[in-house]
Amino acid sequence: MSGLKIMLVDDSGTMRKIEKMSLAKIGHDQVTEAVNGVDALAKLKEGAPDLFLVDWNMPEMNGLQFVGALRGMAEFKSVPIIMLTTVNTQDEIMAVMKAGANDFLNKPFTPEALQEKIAKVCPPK
Amino acid sequence: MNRTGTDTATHNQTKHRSAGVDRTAGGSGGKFLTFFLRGEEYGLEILKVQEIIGMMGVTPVPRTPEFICGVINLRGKVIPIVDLRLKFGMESVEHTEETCIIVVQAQGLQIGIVVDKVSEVLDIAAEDIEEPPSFGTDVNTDYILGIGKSEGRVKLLLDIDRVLSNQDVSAISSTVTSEPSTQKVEETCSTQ
Amino acid sequence: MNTGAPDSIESLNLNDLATLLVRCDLTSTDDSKQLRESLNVALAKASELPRVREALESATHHLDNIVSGAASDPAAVFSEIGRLIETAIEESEGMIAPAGNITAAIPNPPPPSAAVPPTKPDPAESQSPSAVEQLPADADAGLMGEFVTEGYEYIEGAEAALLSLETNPDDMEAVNTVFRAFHTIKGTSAFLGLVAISELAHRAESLLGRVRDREIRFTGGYADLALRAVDILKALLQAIQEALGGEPLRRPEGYGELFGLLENPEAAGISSETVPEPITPLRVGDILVAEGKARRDEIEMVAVDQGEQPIGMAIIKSETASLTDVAHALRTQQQIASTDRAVDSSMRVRTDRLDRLIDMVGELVIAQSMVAQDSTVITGGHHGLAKKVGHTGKIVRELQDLSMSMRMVPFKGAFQKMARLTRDLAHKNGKQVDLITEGEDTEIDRNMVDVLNDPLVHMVRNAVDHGIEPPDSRREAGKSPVGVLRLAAYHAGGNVVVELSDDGRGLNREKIIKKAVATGVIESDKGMSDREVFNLIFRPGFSTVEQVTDVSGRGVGMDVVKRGIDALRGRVEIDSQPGRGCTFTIRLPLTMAITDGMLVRVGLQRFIIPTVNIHLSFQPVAGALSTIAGRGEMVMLRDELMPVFRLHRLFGIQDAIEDATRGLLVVIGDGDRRCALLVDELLGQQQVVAKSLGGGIGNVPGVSGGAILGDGRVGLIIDAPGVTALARQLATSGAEYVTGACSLA
Repeated sequence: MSGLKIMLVDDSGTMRKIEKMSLAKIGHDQVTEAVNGVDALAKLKEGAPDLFLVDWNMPEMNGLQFVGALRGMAEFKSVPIIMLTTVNTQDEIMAVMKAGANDFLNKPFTPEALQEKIAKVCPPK
Repeated sequence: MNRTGTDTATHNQTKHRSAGVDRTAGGSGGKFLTFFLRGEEYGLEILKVQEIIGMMGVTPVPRTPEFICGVINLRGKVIPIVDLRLKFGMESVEHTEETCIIVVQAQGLQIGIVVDKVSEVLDIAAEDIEEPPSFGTDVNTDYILGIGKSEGRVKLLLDIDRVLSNQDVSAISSTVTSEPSTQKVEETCSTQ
Repeated sequence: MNTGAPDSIESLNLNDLATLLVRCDLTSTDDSKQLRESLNVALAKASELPRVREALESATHHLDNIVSGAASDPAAVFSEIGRLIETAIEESEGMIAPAGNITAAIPNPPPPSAAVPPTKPDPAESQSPSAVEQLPADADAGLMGEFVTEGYEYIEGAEAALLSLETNPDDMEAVNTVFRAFHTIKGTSAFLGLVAISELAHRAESLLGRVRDREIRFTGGYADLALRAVDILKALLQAIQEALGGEPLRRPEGYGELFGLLENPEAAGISSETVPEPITPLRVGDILVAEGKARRDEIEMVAVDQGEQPIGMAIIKSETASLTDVAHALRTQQQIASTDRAVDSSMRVRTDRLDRLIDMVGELVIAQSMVAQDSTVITGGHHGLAKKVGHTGKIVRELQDLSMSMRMVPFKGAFQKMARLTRDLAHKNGKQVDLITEGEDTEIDRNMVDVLNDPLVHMVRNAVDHGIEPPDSRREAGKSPVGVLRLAAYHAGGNVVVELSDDGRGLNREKIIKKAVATGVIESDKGMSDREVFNLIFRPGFSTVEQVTDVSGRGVGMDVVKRGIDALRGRVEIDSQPGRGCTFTIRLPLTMAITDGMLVRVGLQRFIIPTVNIHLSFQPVAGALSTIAGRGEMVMLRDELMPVFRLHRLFGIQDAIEDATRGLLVVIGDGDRRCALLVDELLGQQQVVAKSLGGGIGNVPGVSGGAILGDGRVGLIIDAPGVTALARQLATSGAEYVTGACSLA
C-alpha cells in the first residue's frame, strides 16, 4: 500500500479502470471507486480519502453536485478535489471552480499530467 | 449508467417458473379446502382453488386417458375435467347431488377436478402437518404434500400441481394404442 | 508553389504535405524550399512515431539530393519522395486514427480525397487508406473489450432516449442521457487512442450540448444527426470488436459525411425543420418494410418476441433495422397519425383487442341464439318476448357483421406481391409471363391473409418455374410465347375462393406416378383418378425429392401449400390438362373467427364438422358398401371408391348406429385422401366460435378444438385432415379401432 488514499468517482467502468491504471503508474494504489455522487457519498462512511478524482458527467448525481455536497460537509471542506472531465469553455472552468473543486484535468490525460495535478493540489507534507 | 436493458432480459428469463416445483407449502401450513373421495378426506391448498361448481354436462374427448372426463363450458371458456377417483385408480361411482367440480389453477392452467363431496375450509398449522408416509396410502406419495391433522381427523394434503402434472395430463393425448380398453369415460362423466 | 498553401505551416498535416507535393514545381526552388520546411515541421511532430519519422527522414534526404543537384534522375527521386510520404501517411493513420494528423491532440476532419499522393494516381484506390485503420499498437485488449461492452450499454441507453425524444423533443432527461453516452464514449475512447470514435463522439456531444443548453430543439435535421451519430458509433464499436479479433479496423460507411455535417450542421442546411416524407402505412414495421429498410418476416419475428418493450426498441435490439431508420419510421407514423386525425378521423386499435372483440361478439351471437331457441321463447304464449328476442337478434347480427368488417382487408396487397414475384421469377427464368388478377377487392380476414401468403408464393413460383414453358417451346406448341397466369379471388357459397391458373404444360400424370412409386408414396396408381394422382404432389414425401422439374414440372414445397391451407380450415384442389395448363382452387372460410359447421350426432355425442371440409353427405345403399382386403371398408360413390371410417369406432363412442345404410356418410378430405365418415345423423348447420380445449389436454388427434353449442355444452370440432390421418394410421398399424383410450390405472 502506497501513495494517497484516493476516491475515484466515475460512472464508466472502463474509465475507472484506466484512471486506476494511471494512478497505479504514479504510485497510488489505495483507490476507492464510486459510480456517481450518490454512491460516493455512501462510500465516504468507509473512511475519508486524501483526494477526490471526480468525473463531471454522471447520472443521478453529477460531479458538480457531488463537489457541492462535499463542500457543504464540515469534514470534507478542504479535501482536495480534481475534476476529470473535458471542460473547454471559460464558463465550464468557472462552474468547476465555483462548485469548489481545486483543479481540473481534461481527458484524455497522461499519468504524468495527473501526477502534476496531484502534486499541485496535494503538496507533500 | 443505463443497464436496464440487460436487467430486464434476465428478469424475463427467470419469471416463468412452474409453481409445481415448490413443495414447501405443506410444511408451512395454511388454509386448505377439504373434500371426500371414497370416504377419505383430502385437502387442497386454498390458493390453488378458483371455484367450486356443481356437476354439469361434460363433453367427452376421444383418445384421452380414462381419468380425463372431457371438457366443460366455464362461462365461455373450455376447460378440461379430471375425475380424481379414476386418476387415483379408484373405482368410479354414480354421481350424486354432492358430486362437484373444483376448478383449480394448476400448471398455470385452469383444470376442473371431480370429487365426491366438498367438506370445508380448514386452517392447518405447520406443526399439525406431517411428512407423507412412504407407503400405506391409496395415493401415490409423490402427489402428497403432507398429512394434516385437524379435529382428530387425518387429511391427505395434495400437491395438485403434481397430481395434474404435464406428463399425466397432456402428453397422453396423441398415443395410439392397440389395446382396447373399457369404456367408462362417458358413462361416468356425461350424466346429467 | 502557386496556390493552396496552408495558412499556417504549423497546422500542416501529412495529407497537406502530399497535396503540396503534387502541386510542387520541380524547377522552382521556392517550392522545394517550402516542401523542405513542411517536411521539417512534419518531422518535428512525428517525433513520437518512429516509423513515420523514418519515412519522412528518408524523404527529406531525397529532397536535399534534388535541391543540391546530386540526384541523377530528379523525377524518379521525386516519385520516391511521394511514396515515402504516402508511407508516412499510412503509418501515422495506423498509429493515430482517423485524420492522418501527425498531431494527435489537435483533431482535424478526415482528409479530403483530393489529397492523392503522386505515386498513386488511381483515384479509386486512393479513397481507401483512410477508411482502414489499425488498433493502437499498445492497445490493451481487455480494456478495449470492456470499452466496447460498456459503449454498447451507453448506446442502448441513448437509443431508448432518442426514441422517446422522437415523440417528446423537449424531454431534457432524455437529452442528458444521450449527451452522457456521447460524452463518456468520447472520454474513454480518447484514452484508448481510438481517435475516430472519440472525435465523432465529441462532435455529437457538442450537438447534444446545444440541445441541452436550449440553443436548438431536438427535432428535424438535428434529431437525424444525433440518430445517425448513434448508428455510426454503434458501427464503430462493432468495428473495434472485430479489430480485436484481428480484422482491420474499418471505418463505417458514412463516417466522413456525418463527421463533416456535425462540424457545422447549419452550413449543410440542417435545421429543426422536418422534411416531410409521403408514405401511407401506419405501423412502424409497415413503414420500415415500405421504405425497404427491413423485411416483413423479420419484423414479424421481432413482433412475436417483443415482450413488454416498444416495437421500435425491439427492432433495434434485434438489429433488424438501424436506429435512424426506426426513428424515421416513428416520425413518419406520427405525421400520418396527425394527418389522419385531420382527414378521416380514423384511429389505430391493437389487433389483440380487435381479435378479442370479435371473439366476444361471436359468443354473443351464440348466446343470443340460445335465448332465441329457448322453449319459453319458442312455445308461443309470450308473443311480446319473442318479438323482443327477435329484435335483439337483428342487432346482434349487425354487430357481428360490423365487427367482422373491421378485420377484413382486400386481397389487393397480397396480389400485388404476387405480381412482383411473377415478374422477378419470369425474368430470372427467361420466360414471358403476364399476370392477370381478378377480384382484388374481395375481402378476407386480415389474420388469414398472412397465412395465405406462403402457399400463394409457392404456387406462383411453381407455375412460373415449372408450369409455363419457355417462349420457344410455347411457340412450338402453337401457343403465344407469353404465358398467362391468372389469379382470381371471389366469394362463393359463404367461402372465399382463390384460383391460380396457368396456361403452361400442365401436370404429367405418368411422371407423378413414377415419382410417387419411386419414393414410396404409393404402391401403384391402380384405380387412381387423375385428380387423385395430381393431389399426390401435396404429400410431404413427394416434395422432399430432389429437383422435381424433370419429373412432373411441379411439386417443390407443395406440401407447404397444403399445410397452410389446412391451417386456415380450407381446402385445395387441382385441375390440369396436359399442354393446356393447370388450375389450383383454394376454398377458404370467410373468417377464422366463426366457423361454419355441420352439427352431427354420433351416439349421444355431437360434433361439428367444418362446412368447408364437407364435399357432400349421403345415405349409402347396401350395394355401394364393400370390404376390400387390405383396404378395409369402402363405399362407391358415383364412380369413385373411397374408404369408410366409422367415427364412433375412431372415437370410441357407444350406442352409435352400426349399420351404415341407416346412418349417414359425410365425404371429407381432398383428392385421393377423400373418405367417408359414418355418423348417425346431421343435426343442422351451425356457426361456432372455435376455442382451444384448454392447455391441459394438448393435441387430440382428429379434434381441432371445441365450441360452445346452443345448449351451453361444449361440442368438439372435427379436424378433417387429422381424423383421416388418424383413421389411416390405425388401419395401417393393424390395430382394431380403439374404443376409449389407454387406461392409466
